[in-house]
Amino acid sequence: MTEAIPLAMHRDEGRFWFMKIKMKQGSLLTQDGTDKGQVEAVQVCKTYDTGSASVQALQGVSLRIQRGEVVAIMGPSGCGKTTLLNCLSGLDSVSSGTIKIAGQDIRGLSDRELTAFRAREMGFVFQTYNLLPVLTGLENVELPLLVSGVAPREARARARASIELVGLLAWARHRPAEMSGGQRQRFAIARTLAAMPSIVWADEPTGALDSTTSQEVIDLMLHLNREHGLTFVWVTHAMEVAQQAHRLVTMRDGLIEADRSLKAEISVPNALGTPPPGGPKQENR
Amino acid sequence: MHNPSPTTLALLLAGLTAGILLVVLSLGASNPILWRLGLRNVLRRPGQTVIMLAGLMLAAVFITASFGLQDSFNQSMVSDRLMKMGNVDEAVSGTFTQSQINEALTHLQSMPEVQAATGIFYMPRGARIFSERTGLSTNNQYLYGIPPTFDQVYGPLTDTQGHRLHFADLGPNDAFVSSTVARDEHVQVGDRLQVALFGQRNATIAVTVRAVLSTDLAVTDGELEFDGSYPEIIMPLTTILPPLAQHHLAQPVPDVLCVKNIGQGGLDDSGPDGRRGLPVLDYLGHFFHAAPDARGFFPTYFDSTILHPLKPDIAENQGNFSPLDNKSDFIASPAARQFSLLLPTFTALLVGAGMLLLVLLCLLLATERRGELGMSRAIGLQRQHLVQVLLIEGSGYAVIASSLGLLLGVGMVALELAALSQVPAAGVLSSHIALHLWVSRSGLLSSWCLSVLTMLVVVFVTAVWISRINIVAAIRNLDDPLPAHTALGTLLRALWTSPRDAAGQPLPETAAHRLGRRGSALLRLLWEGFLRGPLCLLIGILLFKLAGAQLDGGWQQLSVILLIAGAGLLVNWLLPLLKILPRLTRRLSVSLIGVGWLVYSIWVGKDLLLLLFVSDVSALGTHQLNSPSSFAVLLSLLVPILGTVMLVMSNADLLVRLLTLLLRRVRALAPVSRIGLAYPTTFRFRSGITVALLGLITFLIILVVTNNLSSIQQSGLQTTTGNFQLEIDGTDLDAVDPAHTTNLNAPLLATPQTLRQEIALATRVRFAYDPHNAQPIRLSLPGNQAYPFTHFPGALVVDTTFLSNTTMPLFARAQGYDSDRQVWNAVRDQPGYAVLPYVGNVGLPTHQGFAPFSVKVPENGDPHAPYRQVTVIGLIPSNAYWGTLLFSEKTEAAIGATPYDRFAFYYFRLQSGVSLVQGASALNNALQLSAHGIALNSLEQGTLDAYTASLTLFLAAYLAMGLLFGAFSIGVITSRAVVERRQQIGMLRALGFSRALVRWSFLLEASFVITLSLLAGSLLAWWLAYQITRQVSQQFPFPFGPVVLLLLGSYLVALLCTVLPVRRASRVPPAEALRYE
Repeated sequence: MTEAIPLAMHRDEGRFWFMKIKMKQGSLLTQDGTDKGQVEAVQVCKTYDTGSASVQALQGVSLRIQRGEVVAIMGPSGCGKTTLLNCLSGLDSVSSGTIKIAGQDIRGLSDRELTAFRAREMGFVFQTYNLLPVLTGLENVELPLLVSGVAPREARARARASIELVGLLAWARHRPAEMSGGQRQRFAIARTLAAMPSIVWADEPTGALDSTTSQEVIDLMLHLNREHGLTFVWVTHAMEVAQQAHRLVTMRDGLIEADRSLKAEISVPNALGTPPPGGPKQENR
Repeated sequence: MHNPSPTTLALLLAGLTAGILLVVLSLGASNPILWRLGLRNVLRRPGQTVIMLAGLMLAAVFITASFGLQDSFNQSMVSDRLMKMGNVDEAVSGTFTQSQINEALTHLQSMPEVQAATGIFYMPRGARIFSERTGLSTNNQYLYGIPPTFDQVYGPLTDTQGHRLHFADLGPNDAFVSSTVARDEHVQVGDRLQVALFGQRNATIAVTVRAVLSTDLAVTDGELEFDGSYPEIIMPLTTILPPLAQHHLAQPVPDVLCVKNIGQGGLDDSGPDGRRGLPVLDYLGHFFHAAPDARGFFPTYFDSTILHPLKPDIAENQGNFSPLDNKSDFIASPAARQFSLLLPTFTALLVGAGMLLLVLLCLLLATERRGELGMSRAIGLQRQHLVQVLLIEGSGYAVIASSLGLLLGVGMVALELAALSQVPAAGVLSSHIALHLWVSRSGLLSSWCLSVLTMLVVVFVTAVWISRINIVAAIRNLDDPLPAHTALGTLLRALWTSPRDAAGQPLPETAAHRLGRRGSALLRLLWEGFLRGPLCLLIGILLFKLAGAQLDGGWQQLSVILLIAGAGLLVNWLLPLLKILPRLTRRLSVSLIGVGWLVYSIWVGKDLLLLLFVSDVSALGTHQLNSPSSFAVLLSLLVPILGTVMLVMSNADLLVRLLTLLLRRVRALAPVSRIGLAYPTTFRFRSGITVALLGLITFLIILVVTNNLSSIQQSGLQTTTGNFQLEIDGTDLDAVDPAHTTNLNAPLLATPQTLRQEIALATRVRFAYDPHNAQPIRLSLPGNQAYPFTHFPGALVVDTTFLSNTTMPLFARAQGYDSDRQVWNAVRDQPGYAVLPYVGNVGLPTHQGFAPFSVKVPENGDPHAPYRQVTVIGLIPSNAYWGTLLFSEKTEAAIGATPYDRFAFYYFRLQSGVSLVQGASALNNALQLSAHGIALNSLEQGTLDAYTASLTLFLAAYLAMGLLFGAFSIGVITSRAVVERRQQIGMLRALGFSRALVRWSFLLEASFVITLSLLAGSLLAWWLAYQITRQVSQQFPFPFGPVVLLLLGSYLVALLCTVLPVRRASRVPPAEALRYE
């Protein structure tokens, strides 16, 4: 269970908050021992009805993602990678097959339960940052926390902490229109982090960014994975991005063509937040 | 069940509105970020906010105006009644004896509750006046004989200049006249009037007009409740009583006792113990054995004794007063009927149009924020959160728009009242109540609350719809996926089958989850059953049964509409089973519903709307005068346009193909024609809403304008009198010369020779017998028994001059006659033939070439006279000046009737170029008609026509404000198209489209939608107006000029609203638009 600790006792809210993430992740194992970070898709099919014809976007995809993995999904346009991401994350329904996230079969959930589940367990980063233009950066990050019932003080603290983590605290009071593309994407990541998800889905997270900013964003996600054990699933066209993941899944015509590991070890911090063997990689950010 | 009072209604609405706003506020308070999100969105795009507020304000204006107009009417009526009754609190009328009067007055004056009491003599329609200055004489003037003590009862009295007057100042040969006499009879101060009591020459009093009163007097409830205007001559009681004693009444005494109670007077004075008037009324009721008048607005008759409890009973007995209700103009002018009965329906339709605009605006906002909405859902916002945000935003708009709309609405009421005050009076019985602005607090509160509530309901429904956004499609800016139609069997099974995993094992679910799943499965099953037709048919049949039992026209209409829809939906479901292409099936199904609704609603509407649109209600027959329910009228106006829109939109692609073929040949338009015309048919729903909105307003305006202007044209003298302009009423001649010693017959008929310059023709029309006690004419239609037909007063004999020269077109001719002239000649030359006015719904033929039928006419005016038979070979129009059977002197002789020389009427046709005044003056001078007390009546209906035209203009202007809704909606869908097609515009620009071509493409698209709307609305209106008119007249003059001007104006206004979004489209930077493609 998450323990409530008075925030005022800690000057470094960001560090405290991630301590809480780690404490929360300490309970990520379900009663049957299943790892909550685990995503399991079995024979997933997705058919789109376009009126005059049906398009089979996924033709029986089976995939398992472990907690703490960074998985990149690649493939030519129209191969079904975004559809797979949408189905795995519960944004889209499947025509057949089963998807379990943290042991929970998401097909059995109502829209309300699925939304709550998404808010609790998942984060999203998209190519277009989709920040709400009428809210400041801080308010954008706070939004999912507040609507899922987090107390305003705690939401504010967590939002500030995650913004600090992406290095944009100075921009917290600015609106998205006043920010660069990279800053917006980092705020989108901060919004994702604030909700303390166990898995983050990223659809072309660097698609709208220049190469330098792209690398900064990728570094940030890898850092969060190493330091805090977040699972990332990236859909990307960019090989230089995909090559930095732990595992590369290649798709073609709605099927998985190849699934290979790119890194020998996966950084999965234990319940006490101890860095994985080898220690965290030093970053120059 | 009693209707709630305006105050109760206002408080109920206020409670409801406050409750809902509090809920919204508390939602915001519990989640301040949603509050901030909603409110900041209000300020996000100032331009759109302004459009949104303008549209909503307009709806609030209509709501406020409808309350304010009614409040102002009611308050104007109360003020008018208070002015007419002065300080008189109670009255009693009847035929009294002098001793009764004396005893009653003595007792009343001794009562502590009474301040003053007196008796007056009142004779409604009892005098005829002749002005020595103008030479004009007028019948049916109201006469008052007033004692000097009446001042104490009536209170302050002023003339038109505002000078204080006293009844006591009237000398023996002085008179005051009421404002109506001055206005209608052109009487001035100082005029000498000959006042003939009961119209008798030998009971005449000569008086001098000393003052024109600022108002009319009325101290009896029938006159007050009628809210009419009364031509009154007010003279001293002592002047009136002697001639009455001499000629009519053995012992004339006052016939109305008036009482002023203790107190300041006025409505707010309820007496010392709040029992104002009760002791007085008790005493009067007891003493005279009388009861309060319960006859409504009938004039006072003196054959019974009636109590008149004036204040506050009569003064405040208002209901929903309309200055045009129950007056002669209501019968004579379709515009008056439309104003009284259709204005609330028009308001409801306009408010509905405003709400449709709100739906379009909300959808536009949702389109613009689609990505944000999708992302919000992805990161964990529930549907209810989206609804809350939109509701908070909508509440902001609703509160601001309703508050501003309230102020503008009051302004609009002032404008409406000013416009209505300019409408000329249509006739003697018209109301001349001075209209003034007054809006009650309860009215204002109700308007504000209704505006806010209506908007919130629409925003809520739209928000629920928007919240069902497809997350993936929204985030990735894809088209929304088509709704999947699940098989009914699957839906049925879903009621009891739980979801299963890939291995076929049931997934675990909680009881609440199961209940929710089954509830939603049931709703889906019902909805799919409705969409496929069977459930729709079932509801239609049930409603038909229920409505049939309750004889409710509106619900019966609705049931048939549902049955037609059900049949169409069933076709859409079943035809694909026969391997018919789904696209063709859909076209057939929607077209079937459209045609069905259109034909049915026109078929029903032409009868239902007849009372509201027919030029002369006398054509309907007495049993058709019940006004239809508002719901039935609303359906009759709404469903044809919906049917038309469905028919047009389901087949618009065919029209587009044709237009594309044509436009392809125009070089400048070739590149844009396909793009410009393809989109409206691709997005049929939103185009359909816009066509429905603009088409509905166009339909209403064109229907009112076409119908009323053609009715004015039909009322031309060529039709109504056969082109005779002046009349001498036979009753005048009889009154002047009862013994017929002065024979004016020959000189009058000789005027075409004696006044060759001015008079072209003179003709005489007279009753065949004394109609007062005669038996009614009996109608003998083919296949029916002869039956008495009391609609006609009696048969008229027309002379040869009339029959040879009349230009009156016939409604229908009997078989064997090729022209109207042939019929008139046959009536003139062949004994036994006659023509009859057309009356609807009594079985008279409506087609040309009908089989002649017979009418039985009494030989004379004796109640037991034998009947003679004449043959009807033509039907004259229902609005003909003579609403009865016409035949020639030859026919009169043939049936053996004795010529009857009373009640003769003379008609004169003027030479061309001679004005009415010139003609009347020549006749007056030559025959000394004024000296004989004979008046010349003008047969021109100029006043009534001006009245109809003014009211039509008012109604059209009122509806034209609704055009703004239609125009705004065109602007909104164009804006939405620009937002949605940003990338496509970028692509077109990249492909080489110039800015001008992009502009043309959008303008062509908007023009297509506008043209479709205007054509659909105006053609439908024309068809309905034609169907309505054809029921009572063969003529349908189409007011081409005004209609074309209206359509052009509407087209330009609507196109103007697309200018800004089109400009925005042409300025889309291609590189930026294509960046994420």
